[in-house]
Amino acid sequence: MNIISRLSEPKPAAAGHTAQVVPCPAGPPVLEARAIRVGLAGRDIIRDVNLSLQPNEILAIIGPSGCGKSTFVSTLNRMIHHTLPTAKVEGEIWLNGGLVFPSSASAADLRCKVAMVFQRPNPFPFSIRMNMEFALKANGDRYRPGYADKIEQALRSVNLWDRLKDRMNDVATRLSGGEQQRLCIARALLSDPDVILFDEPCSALDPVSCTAIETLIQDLKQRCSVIIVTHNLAQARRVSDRCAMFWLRDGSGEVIETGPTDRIMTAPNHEITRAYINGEFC
Amino acid sequence: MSERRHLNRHHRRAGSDRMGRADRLIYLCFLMVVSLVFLTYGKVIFDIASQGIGQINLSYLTDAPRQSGRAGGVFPILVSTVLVLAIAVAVALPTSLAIALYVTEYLAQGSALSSLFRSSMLILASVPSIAFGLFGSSFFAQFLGLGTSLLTGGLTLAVMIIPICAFAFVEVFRLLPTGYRTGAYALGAGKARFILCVMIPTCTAEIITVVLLGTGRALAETAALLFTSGYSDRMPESLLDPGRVLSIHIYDLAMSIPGGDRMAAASAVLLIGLFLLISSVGLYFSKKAHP
Amino acid sequence: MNREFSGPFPGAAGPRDRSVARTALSLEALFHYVLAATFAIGCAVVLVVGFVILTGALPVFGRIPVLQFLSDSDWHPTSGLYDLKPMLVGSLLTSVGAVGLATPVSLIIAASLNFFMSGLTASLLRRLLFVMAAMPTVIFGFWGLTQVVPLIGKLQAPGLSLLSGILILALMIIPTTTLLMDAAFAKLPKPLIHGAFALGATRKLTCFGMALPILRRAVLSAALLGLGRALGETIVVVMVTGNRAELPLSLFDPIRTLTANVTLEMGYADPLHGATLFLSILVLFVIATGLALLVHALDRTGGVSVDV
Repeated sequence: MNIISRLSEPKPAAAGHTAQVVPCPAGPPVLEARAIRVGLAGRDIIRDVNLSLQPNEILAIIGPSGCGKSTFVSTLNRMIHHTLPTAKVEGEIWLNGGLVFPSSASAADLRCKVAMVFQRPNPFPFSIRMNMEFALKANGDRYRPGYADKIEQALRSVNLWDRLKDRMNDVATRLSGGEQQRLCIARALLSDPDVILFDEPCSALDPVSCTAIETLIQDLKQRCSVIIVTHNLAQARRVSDRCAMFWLRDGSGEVIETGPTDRIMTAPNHEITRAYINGEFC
Repeated sequence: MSERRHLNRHHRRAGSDRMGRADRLIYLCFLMVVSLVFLTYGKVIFDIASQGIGQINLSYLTDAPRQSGRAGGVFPILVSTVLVLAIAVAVALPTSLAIALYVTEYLAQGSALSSLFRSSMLILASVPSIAFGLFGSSFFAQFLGLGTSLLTGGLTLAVMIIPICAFAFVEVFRLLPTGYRTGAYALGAGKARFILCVMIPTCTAEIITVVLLGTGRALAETAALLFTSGYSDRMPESLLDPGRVLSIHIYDLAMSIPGGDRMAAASAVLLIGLFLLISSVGLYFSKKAHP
Repeated sequence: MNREFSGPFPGAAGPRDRSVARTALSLEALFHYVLAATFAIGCAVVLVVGFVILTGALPVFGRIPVLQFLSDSDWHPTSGLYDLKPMLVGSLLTSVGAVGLATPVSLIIAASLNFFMSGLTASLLRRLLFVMAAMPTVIFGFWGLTQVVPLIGKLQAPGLSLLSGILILALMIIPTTTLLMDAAFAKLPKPLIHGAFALGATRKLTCFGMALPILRRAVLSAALLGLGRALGETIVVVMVTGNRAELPLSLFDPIRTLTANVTLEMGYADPLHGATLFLSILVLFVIATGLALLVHALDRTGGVSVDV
């Protein structure tokens, strides 16, 4: 009760404080979201979200369910137009110094650079090879003789090649959940993206598969940046370099604090973050 | 200010997932095909309406045809049409309802009998309508001795639309929340009571939709009626008299009466009108069923 | 009050209750029996229809060898010539031609409805398709006879031809096949569509590289159902194909289908002639049954569940 009353009326000092805690670490960001607002049916799902992502960085987005984490992530590659077709998006999104939203450029090109992996593995119900080839075609790759090599590389980088090299014509949906998710990551890697968005990639998987995915995400850091949405604080601690805490305020999701994972997990500035980390909302 | 307006325009344009160039190109080609098809349907309706609507007046609706239909009206034909439809629906509705109820409430899903139902109804639904015509003329007309009559025509149509209605009913009943079922049985109701007091009242709108679907099918039929309800354009005096339905009237005027095209178009307008009436009432009820 | 009433009949409440229970039970049982009987009759009807047509065709067997239907020189039943070849070929050419034309067109419309158009336009067009799918076929036949046949006649007389049959039949089955394909597309799980778009696929690739390979069985079964409708259609082909019982040499030649043959000759057929007509319908009946069972099998084994 005490906590909830504190939440509904945040201290102005605390709010001002958090606004200053969005320091840009060195160098220009890969991806930058400025003043993102998503409205749906007269209500703001998220409001005034500013976040930036550095090269080779893993940013975890944490917070309770329903505070707009997934919605925010899906605006970054404009998938929101498919997942919430009636939503109205405002703000700016910059990728490598270029404005990608609002923009008249096709969303398909953006999605090759900002790839996405979903909560539930969603391989297409045809062969593994066709799944991979589909991604190459989506990327605009018309050089068919090069396909085999690229597919092998991508599957190697998710540690699936040895297991799948003789089963390339099997139906992808017959794989185990963890394998399916890794296949989906490999599929996303084929376009050589700058950023990969993971929307709770482990919540439909068993713990062993989950560990494999987490290791994989940390390996991915070598080649691109990662944003991972997660409910699981332990996962955020294990995987990420930096955390952004989402919170629902007056029915709209907002970022209340960002910072290096170590500091967020041990000494958060914002009171709600501290309470959330310590599990006081359970 | 101007920059703001500029941004706003961007917002609007980016509001939905815009197509890339390749997509826009292929969509343009697709749109040509789509509009060609729909414009053709529009032209079908327009041509018939522009030819036929001028002939329709009150005396056309209330007079008997003269000179084999070249002049006069269509009153006896309308009467025959309505009677044949009424017989067909009166027979098909309870039968298909009973079949569907038995399948959904008394048979286990996936049991041998229910797959027998599926395959026999599938076959019946795909049999050419002229086969029903031959069946009706040798079974109802000759074997049962009903002759070429409205009754034979109606019964033949009933056999034709029973599978369509039964399939549709099964689909409706399967969608009923299982909570209704468990709730009713928990109150100690038997299956019959549940069906009569819960299922049928809650599904009234759907049942009406299905009946109208069947009626539309029956109204659209021509081939099955050629040998069963006959060509006679006189006023039927009983259900055992032959009578000519609207679709056969159009067929006959267009095919065998020289100079019958104008009157055929007028009847076609009537048939389309009746058909659209039935479909739109059906649509109304289906909207009511799934708001 | 009540007790006074039941006084003269001690224990009346018991039997009365039981009798209520018994009527309720017998209502249940009666209801069950009536439904079961109707169900049995309904399932038997297909046998009865098949049996009646088979009996109608029975006189043929033993009188005319089956091969004679293919080897006779002409269709002239009054002189004992029973060449069904032209009608078989006519039926096949019109229906296969119509399906060949309708399938790609339907696929294009269904793809546009699901992947390219806005939801509002798509639902409006779907409604129009629903209406056109059930439109009385005599309307299409009449329109074809008065508008399309004269047009083809200008190209090459007489206009009543295989081509006009194919065109009007295609027009007739396009709504049905489109709606079937549209239903299949609509049942595609959303995560798959999102997955394709998230990989940067264009709408074209999503539709033809992802959806179509998954739904190819459903598309095939829609085309087969269209074929069944086209094969069984009577009035349209009687009205627009010219009904000449000869093998066509070009698209502009008149033809006669099996169904048209029955419609035109049943009225004056002698018993043996009538039996040959029943036989030709029996052939169609068997083909339609085969198609229905094939469609049933296709729908059941589809990769993504697309049950009808």
